[in-house]
Amino acid sequence: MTNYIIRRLLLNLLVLWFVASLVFIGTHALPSDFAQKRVASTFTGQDQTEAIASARRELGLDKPLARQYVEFMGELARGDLGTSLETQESTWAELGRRVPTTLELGSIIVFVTFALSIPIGVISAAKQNTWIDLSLRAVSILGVAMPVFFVAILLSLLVVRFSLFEIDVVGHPHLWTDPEAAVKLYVIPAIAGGISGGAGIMRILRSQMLEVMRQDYIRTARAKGLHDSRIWVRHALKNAMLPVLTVMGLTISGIVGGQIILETMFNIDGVGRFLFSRLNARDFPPFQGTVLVTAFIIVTVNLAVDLTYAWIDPRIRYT
Amino acid sequence: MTQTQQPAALPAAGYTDFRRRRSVGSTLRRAGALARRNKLGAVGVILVLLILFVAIFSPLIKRYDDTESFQTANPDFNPTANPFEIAANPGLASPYILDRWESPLGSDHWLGTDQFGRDIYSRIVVGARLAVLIGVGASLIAVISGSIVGLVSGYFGGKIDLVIQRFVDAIQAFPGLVLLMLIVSIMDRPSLTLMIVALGFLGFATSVRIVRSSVLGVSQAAFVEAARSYGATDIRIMLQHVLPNILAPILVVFSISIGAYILAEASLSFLGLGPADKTTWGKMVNAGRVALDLHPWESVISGAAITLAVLGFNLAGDAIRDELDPRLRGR
Amino acid sequence: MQRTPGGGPRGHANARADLLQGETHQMGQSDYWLRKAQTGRVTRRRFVGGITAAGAGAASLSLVGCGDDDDDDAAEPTSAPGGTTTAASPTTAPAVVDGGVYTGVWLGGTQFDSVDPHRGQRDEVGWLSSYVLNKIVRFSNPDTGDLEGDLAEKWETADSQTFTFAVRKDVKWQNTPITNGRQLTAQDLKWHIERQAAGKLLDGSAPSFRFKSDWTGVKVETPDDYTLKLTLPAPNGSFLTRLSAFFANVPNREATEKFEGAHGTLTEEAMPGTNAFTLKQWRTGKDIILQKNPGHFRKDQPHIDGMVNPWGLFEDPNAYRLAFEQKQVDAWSSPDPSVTKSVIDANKDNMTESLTGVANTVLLHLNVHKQFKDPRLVKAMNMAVDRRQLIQAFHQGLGQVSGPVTWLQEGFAVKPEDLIKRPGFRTDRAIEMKEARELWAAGGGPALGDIDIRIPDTWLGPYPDTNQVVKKMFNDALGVSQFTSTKCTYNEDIIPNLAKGEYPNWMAWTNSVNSPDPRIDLYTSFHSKGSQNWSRVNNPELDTLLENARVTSDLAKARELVLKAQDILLENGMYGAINLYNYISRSAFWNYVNANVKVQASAGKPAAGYNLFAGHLAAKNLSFNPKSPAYTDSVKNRKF
Repeated sequence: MTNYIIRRLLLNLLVLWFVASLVFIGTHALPSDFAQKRVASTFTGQDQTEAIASARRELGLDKPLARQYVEFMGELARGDLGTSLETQESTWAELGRRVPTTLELGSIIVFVTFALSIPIGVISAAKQNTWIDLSLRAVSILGVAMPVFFVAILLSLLVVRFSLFEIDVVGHPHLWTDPEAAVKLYVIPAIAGGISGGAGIMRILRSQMLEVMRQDYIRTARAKGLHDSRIWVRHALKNAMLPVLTVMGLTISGIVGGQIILETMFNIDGVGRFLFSRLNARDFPPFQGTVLVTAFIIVTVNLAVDLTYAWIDPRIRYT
Repeated sequence: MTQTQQPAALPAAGYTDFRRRRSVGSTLRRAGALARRNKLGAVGVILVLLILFVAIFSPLIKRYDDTESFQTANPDFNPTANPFEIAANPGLASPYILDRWESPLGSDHWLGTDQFGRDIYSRIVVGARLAVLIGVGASLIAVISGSIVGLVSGYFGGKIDLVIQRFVDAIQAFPGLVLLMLIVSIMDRPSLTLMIVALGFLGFATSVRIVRSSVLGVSQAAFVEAARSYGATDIRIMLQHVLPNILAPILVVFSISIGAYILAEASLSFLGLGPADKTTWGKMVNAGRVALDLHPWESVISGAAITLAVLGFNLAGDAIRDELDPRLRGR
Repeated sequence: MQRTPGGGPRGHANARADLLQGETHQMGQSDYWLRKAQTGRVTRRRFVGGITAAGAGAASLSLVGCGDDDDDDAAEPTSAPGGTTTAASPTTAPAVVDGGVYTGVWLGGTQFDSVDPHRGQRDEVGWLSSYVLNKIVRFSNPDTGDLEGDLAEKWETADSQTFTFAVRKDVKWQNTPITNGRQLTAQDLKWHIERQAAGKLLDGSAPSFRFKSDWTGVKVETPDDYTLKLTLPAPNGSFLTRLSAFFANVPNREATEKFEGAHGTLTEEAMPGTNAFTLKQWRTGKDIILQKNPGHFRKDQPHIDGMVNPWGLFEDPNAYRLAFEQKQVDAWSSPDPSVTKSVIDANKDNMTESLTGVANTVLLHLNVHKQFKDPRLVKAMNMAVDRRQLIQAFHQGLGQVSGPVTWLQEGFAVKPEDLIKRPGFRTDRAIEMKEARELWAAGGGPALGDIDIRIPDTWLGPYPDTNQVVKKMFNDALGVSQFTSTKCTYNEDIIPNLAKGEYPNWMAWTNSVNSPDPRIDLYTSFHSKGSQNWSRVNNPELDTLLENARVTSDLAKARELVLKAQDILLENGMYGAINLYNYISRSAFWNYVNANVKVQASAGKPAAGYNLFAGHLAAKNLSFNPKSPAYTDSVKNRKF
């Protein structure tokens, strides 16, 4: 097992190197660069080639590509994720400000996701092919099919039109500074995101549970006289959770990547919006750094999920 | 349980032998039985057929040019109107006015017009064709490229497999929309075709994963060993024996992800990164959202169109999956 | 994303209408409209007709004491000696109450490329610094061009070549580290001018100083600490207007030099000021916060305690609107003007509509060195382009056609009744098209083959269908199928190629209008020695007109000359630099705030904002009205 873990860790390093190279190539293949966007995207009629060139020199953007790549890799090896061209702050500092916000929103979304999907999935499986099952499945499929921003816009307009409560899009409230305002701000994106994510999980859970229920050991448990509900929760759910764990890996990748659309719509300063704004501004050091951090988290979470698999299901052995 | 015969030599259950032929009649009967069994799937297929119909026949049924702004002559035209007068009556400064924001109710336009006087029904119809192109096109690209790579990777194993899988891991390690945004930004206001390629590239990773794991399963089957033992080349084995048996998961991935690509394009349009030259449903939802409470029909109708399309493809895809191999559920 | 370069919907930090009450100026610029009225040569009717197109109708009416409503009995224009007028504003301005924190997006964007107003290439740093820094002289009304002293309390010039300014003795830099509340003297002004003229940093390097050409050859003398004497290389009738432009702010020497190396990093420490507001917070990604400067020399200003511009709110129209409807920001504008109108109409008692002409002129620029060498082709294009259709298509009718001098610059523009008789502006499309086709054929248009009218990508953001619209418009008008339209960028395709004559044919925003006086811009663009004369116009008659217009400080004469120059330009299709139109922006603000507008709203009529930048007047005009029923505790209790 230890060998397996070590091997996986080394392979993860290879993956991260791929990610770093991909994102480097990607950002340097973008059509305009930071100097152009920053200095000269308004038309003043004056020739600004000189101003752009001097801005490039100042920022170190005029070095040859290969050299920039080598420097980038060197910085990564030292744990340096670069500094923002716009604010001159380190990527760690910028991220550090935003990660709590993203985790805040993300965990609320995950909570809503599982709170919706697990009960619905279980009920749907238990009442398979009844109209309850069919309608729940229909609703969940609808949830997957609707674009997430669509739900969010409708809900927010409803709230404002009927003055249900106040959504603070200007003051950036957090759970730790102003819990009431924060909850009011996050409730709509949480529902919108939860519906989208939860629907997928609910369907997987349901089908997994149905499969498990057909297994022999369930029949044995029934024969032993255990109540249905105990069977469902103790045996079926536990076994059905395995593939759900896989999906959880994906869900976390969604959180970590940040809910870009939802953050933009509600002026929430999180990691997702940060990525989007840095891409637009062509401020690529923080963009690259953030992508790497999230990639690292994703591959680590995947490894953790795989290990949890092995721990839960004794039949799985890694060599 | 599949309904095909299995040659006795196959130990692994669930792999089909495609050598038996069926008649059209029996196929139709099977379809009917399928529909009865899987009602939601039937609904999905109907929706898909509807959308395909609209997409294919869109030039015939669209009623108006989707880029044409409807204008009417303006009897109040006053070329020297001041801004106050113009603001009170925006048409004043022009000899013709746009039919702005017409509601579907009581209008020539079945689904109303948008902010610039363009007929929404026509734009939806044209958008159907684009949605199908995007969904099916991206899915095809993803599945074909993913299958080739997954087949090679899973069959040959070893170092090739290792490197390819790490590359796939790398693509999947990019958070959410980010890789897509990056690619689309590099393309710099891409045309529809390029956008489809970009979307396909994203799905490539998932296809590779799924194909590879299926290939791994098949490679261990006895008939493959048998084929190797009598000297068949690798390529022959891959194409003749392995590929037919992994068509099922490939087909499932293909049909299930169509909806996801349509949604992904809608998300990109929301962020302003959609295809530059064509009007997709996603762009319409985004365009209409500033006035969602006042003139909801543009956003609501195009949003509903997206939802129905995704719904249809998802349901149909689910049905195909349920039918072909129960083992694939949840993976 | 709804950004317009160079401005777009200007922040309407709202204003009160008593523009000239108590504002006096001595010598120098005289009140053009006032003199016109005094000579009696302008009847009231014509007067009104002449300026309504500028949208400043009501403003100018109050300027000369006429009633607000056209149907009023004609009140003869009144005036007082010394150049002041009493504004007989028909609406009683609400009582001024001090205090309150204004929240709003008052700038067009939050992209700052430098903290140094001398070096910033973008307009944003000029706008922001107008709240914090002062200029030598400033506009009391940027739309009409009336001037008043800012750092200078008096000035005189005999010949528009030598200017002597008496610097105020009560101006202090803000009381923070770096400046420590020290006095501002003529030495600060001397540094301000000489640094830009030299264009060098402390370390000897010479980066781009945006306005260096304004100061080249200017001799600066300071006979004493409170007198500034400038000698220009040649007489310049527009010099004072140039000094009043939004970008001509005087920064602090110590702070600017300290942050010279890191001029691209935003920090509030880099811009200590002398004006009514100081920067409390100015960091990338954070809200911009201005607060009241207790040491400001205008003792009664500002009325409010501070201003907050929430960073990033401008990016998403749904978030912006949410914030506005919940009174988290005080003013708002939607990308769809009909939505703004609907929201205002739904809240008639609590919201006010404000209209502003947008200074970003839309231009069609043809390359006269390549395909459009024959002037007949240029004239044909001037007629083929359907300005009014474009205003309808992109701006829902909210806009007006603009000649070589835009309608915003009411003092110098060709009058609308006159403009609609000129080719390209006529209301009879049939005639325009007929003549255009004749000229097109005569000039060999069909032989040109494919013609690409390119659209910059920043324009395509808010107006994505432009390519299709433009292509169809030209093909239909000229009865051909030669025209296509693709995208391009300002930075790669247009700007670097302007001087070389290699630019594409393009259509989008051009330099925004930053002055009510167009003489300098006309010279720059159309004089044979003009620095932005991309079409390489060389017309001796035009040259003489523009030269003479530039040097005279007699406004009546200047106006005549400019009108004659425009005649030449209009006859020649503006030599390919074809002004199309300026559009109108509609915004809404809650009526618990007295906004920085030119004309107050009155019954049935929206407020009129300043078409040209007037942020420097916010300190004077912006205040809260607690008596408004819309005023809530959440607004009252704002902190920053």
